[in-house]
Amino acid sequence: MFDQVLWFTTRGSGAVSLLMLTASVCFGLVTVARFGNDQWPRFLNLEMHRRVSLISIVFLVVHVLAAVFDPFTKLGLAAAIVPLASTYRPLPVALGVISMYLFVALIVTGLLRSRMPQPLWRTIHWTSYAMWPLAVLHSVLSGSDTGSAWMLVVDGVCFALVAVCLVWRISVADANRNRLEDVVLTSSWQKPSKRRDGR
Amino acid sequence: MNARRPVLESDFHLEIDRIACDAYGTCAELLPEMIDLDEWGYPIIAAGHVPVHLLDHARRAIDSCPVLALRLAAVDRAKIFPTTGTGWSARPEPRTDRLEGTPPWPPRPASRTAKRGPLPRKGG
Amino acid sequence: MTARLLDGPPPGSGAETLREHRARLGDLPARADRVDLIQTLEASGLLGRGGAGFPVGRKWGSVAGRSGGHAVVLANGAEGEPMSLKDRVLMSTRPHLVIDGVELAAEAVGARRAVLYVGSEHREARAALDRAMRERASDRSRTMPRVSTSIVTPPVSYVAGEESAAVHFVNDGDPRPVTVPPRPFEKGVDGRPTLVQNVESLAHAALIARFGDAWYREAGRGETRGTSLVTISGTRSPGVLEIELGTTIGELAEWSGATGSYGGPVLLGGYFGTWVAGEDAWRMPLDPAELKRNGAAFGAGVVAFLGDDTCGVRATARIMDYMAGSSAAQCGPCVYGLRAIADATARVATGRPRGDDLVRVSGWSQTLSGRGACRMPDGTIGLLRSAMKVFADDFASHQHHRRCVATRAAVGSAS
Repeated sequence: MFDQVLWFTTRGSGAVSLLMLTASVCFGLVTVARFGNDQWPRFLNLEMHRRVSLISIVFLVVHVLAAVFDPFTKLGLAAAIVPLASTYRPLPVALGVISMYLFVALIVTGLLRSRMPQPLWRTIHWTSYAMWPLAVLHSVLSGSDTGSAWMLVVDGVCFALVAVCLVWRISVADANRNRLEDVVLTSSWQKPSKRRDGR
Repeated sequence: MNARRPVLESDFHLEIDRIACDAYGTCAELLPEMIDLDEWGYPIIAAGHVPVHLLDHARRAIDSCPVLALRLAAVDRAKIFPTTGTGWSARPEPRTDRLEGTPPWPPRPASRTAKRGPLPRKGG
Repeated sequence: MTARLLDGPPPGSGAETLREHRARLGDLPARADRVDLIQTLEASGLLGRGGAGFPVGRKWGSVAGRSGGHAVVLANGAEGEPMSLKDRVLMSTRPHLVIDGVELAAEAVGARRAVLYVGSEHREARAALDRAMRERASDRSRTMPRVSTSIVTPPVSYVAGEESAAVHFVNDGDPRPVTVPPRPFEKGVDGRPTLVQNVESLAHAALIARFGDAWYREAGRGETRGTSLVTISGTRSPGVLEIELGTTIGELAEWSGATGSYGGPVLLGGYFGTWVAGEDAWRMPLDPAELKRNGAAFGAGVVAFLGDDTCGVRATARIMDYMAGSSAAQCGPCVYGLRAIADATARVATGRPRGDDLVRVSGWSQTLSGRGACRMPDGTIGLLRSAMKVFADDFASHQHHRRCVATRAAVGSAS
């Protein structure tokens, strides 16, 4: 019975971690996209992004520990640390391990952001565009043969949410900063008033 | 608010990196007492020391900036009270007089009604 | 006219050669006599000629104090101020004087590297400096330690001459100001303490090193001593003149053949400066200290006469447009604020004002002060404020009656 508990814990905490991670990625994208209105002040985006990331990694720790100590998978600690060291589904687990390392780097640099050079922080933060897909792939490919339909639905929802937010973020891009250049380049003296020929 | 009560000023003022600032506006959401937005969304920051009662809010405002454009900068207090040192000052750091064996600093007044040194200037 | 910097071959003779330079001025003083140059400069009261007017000796001292032998000297000949020609003229005709100043500065502050920062469009100046450096390279009788000197040419723009922009361009090829602190004298080229000094200031320093601070202070009529280069425009004989500090605008008007009436509007200092007008203003000495007391500034030594029939409102609006277009496009308040001001003043100047244009312009200029990474918006606002004082009646006439007081004509919609 106990081994079933660990197995369910692994899958459940993994799912929650992925959902929280997805929420974090979405909040991060939406921060740059400057979402906000009267009900949702903009500072909440970054605030939620940070808090939800921490919740996600807590569930990730539970997920990893439960998986490592689960007698069914016989993963052992090495599999959780070294990619492809696992005998049980080596590729999916490896994807998860790599994603986990990237996640740890993101959390650490996120917490220490004000104490580090910004170009370094930025480079590491860009790896989140690899980290999240790896986590999703890990989830999709690690699915066991029975009863994995609900997990695929969860994966699909995560994918859709991030896709929407990503498109939104790309459409905003660097609009504010680019507009500065445009405004500087306009001239106050060439604004077409009525043309002499009346057109 | 009692308009006669002087505002205690901290040792810090707000500084902004105008090049990094990209008009996200979260600072004005979290510290409206000192930060306003102009018609283009860029912050107008009140000059002068941050009042002590707003320091926590100021820190939150600083943390909320997605591009880290805002920061607190310490002012050299010795330049402001050159003859009396700090007197009883509203310092944001934890008080060391709670530690064992450490003499209380700044010096405690002899009694509650004793003069506590110059009152901080009335804030804006 | 007092000729110190411009003493020597007459204008039109091209660049002075090393031999001519030595023949005219003699060698630099022996090493032992050069030791106290920073003190000598402080005693002379020499002020920077790049526009800010900061005491030169004090600036060198602050770099020397933190250099550790690894400082950098940046000779600023960018001259992005469109109305100023003096730096170009100095570099083209007296390159060795400038390079003397650079070498002396390098020795005084402990620098092993120097950069001659010359606007890319100032071709004559570049060529003259280049030739001068080659002359020196093959010169055997050197008394100064070798300083690795290079010529760096930024695109000519208003902000490229700002000190942090200059350092930024030398380091990263980007001629835009950066956020300070740290300022260049703390951390500049290659991360080292950098002395950013205008080329005219360096030339004065080179003469002071030879002839002493007492000699420098012999010239000058008022509180601020010495001579300075000014660029005069709007007259029959415009160009660069060397004047004794304390000379009045009225005298300059006479010397260079100004055509307008006495007391007409004059732009002092350049686009970063202020308009002055009136007989009192024309009698005011061009002395940085005196000008500052009267709310004006010597700036980059520009003295531009507007003349009687030229519209000051229009001239101001053109300047506002130029400054708005010169923004480095890094800080929102500068970009949007200056553009709004430029749009509004252009509308007023061309007879298409909106009802509240002048009021809004005042509002914008108040919120704009100090809200950029560099001082460009502040300088522009300073010029605008002085314009609204000097041309107050003309602004009002443009706004409310669409009539220009200066040209005595209606203001049409033609640009």
